[in-house]
Amino acid sequence: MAAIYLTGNGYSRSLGIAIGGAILLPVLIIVVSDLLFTVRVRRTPLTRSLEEEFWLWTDTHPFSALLAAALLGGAVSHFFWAIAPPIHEPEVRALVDAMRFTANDPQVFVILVFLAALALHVVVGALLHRFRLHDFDWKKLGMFVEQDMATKRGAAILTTFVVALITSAQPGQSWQAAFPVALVALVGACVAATLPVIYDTVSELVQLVTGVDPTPPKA
Amino acid sequence: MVLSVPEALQALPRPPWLMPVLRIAACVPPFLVVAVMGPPFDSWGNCSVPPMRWGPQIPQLAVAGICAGAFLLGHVLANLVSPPAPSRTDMASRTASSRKPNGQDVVVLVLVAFVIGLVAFECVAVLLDSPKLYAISFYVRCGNWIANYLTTAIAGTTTFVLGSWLRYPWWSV
Repeated sequence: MAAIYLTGNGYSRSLGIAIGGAILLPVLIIVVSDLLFTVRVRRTPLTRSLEEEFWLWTDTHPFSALLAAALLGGAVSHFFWAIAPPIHEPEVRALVDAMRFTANDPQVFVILVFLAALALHVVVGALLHRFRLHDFDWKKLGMFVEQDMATKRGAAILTTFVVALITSAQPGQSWQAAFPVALVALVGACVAATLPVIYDTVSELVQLVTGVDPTPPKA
Repeated sequence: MVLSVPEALQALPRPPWLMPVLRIAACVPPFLVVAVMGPPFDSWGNCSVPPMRWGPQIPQLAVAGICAGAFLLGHVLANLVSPPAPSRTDMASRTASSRKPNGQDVVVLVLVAFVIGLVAFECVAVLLDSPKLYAISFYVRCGNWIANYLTTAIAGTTTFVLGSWLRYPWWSV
């Protein structure tokens, strides 16, 4: 690893201070607000503090709570992890190169379309329940995220990706080398999963606009 | 009458404000370090590209151990110090009776959205790999090099607070 030692090396002083503040200030603000919530416990009957809020979340929507915990934990460990290898080390370099290659590849467009379809489905579903069915519940916001991902469909996509990654990895090679092949499998799974999501979204959009549920009644 | 350990822990007074106060106390060490050693804001030019993976004073494994220990401490203390969470049926009835978001909902949503923003910035910076835009992890490692004690203190505080927030009922008293 060739490290370049120099002063005036491209680090922005203001950006460095902003990043430090962006990590510490939200923690401070939320810690203080947590105490205020606790003091106001009699006025906020649902939860006393953020830890109880998370407890409630794990109880009602475990999948989305798990995703949030993984996101928080992953971000913190990544940002603070002084023992993580820098990007210029060979194994990480290979993974980033693979990602950069696929970023210029039409395959990545398929995954983006799938993610956009998921996001649109969440938005349309929330609007439908809020303005047409009048039963929208903020406490069930996680349900809209889980309706497409925490299902057999989501499990099939994840399994396809993991199995492709495992079966493509060669003995003695790093797993990053198998990433492009697994990505192709992921693209295929996303293509298969996108159409049903779009169908559900269009049905809900029709119901939102007309008030009529176009899906045939279940027998 | 001899109490078992869980019974003895349950018998201890556990005011709801105690854990939030402990979280605020956990935020003090970074400010103590700055008060003792001074702000390191003018030293960014001393970092290498890419920055070193360890700091000059505290070994990297010690930093990892401090973070893991702080997370566990926060997680265990939240279970020991905070009042027991309401039962599942109680939670369900309270959830059913309130559809509007409360302050805690808003804070959690804002926190998750903020972290998603940081991760997006990190992904863009890593993929661009440009000297014009370094990733957040580069800045954190640089911060760890020029202000080893302060960065370790911030990391310990953050992981302690996160560990206490992520109070999952693996076990509870």
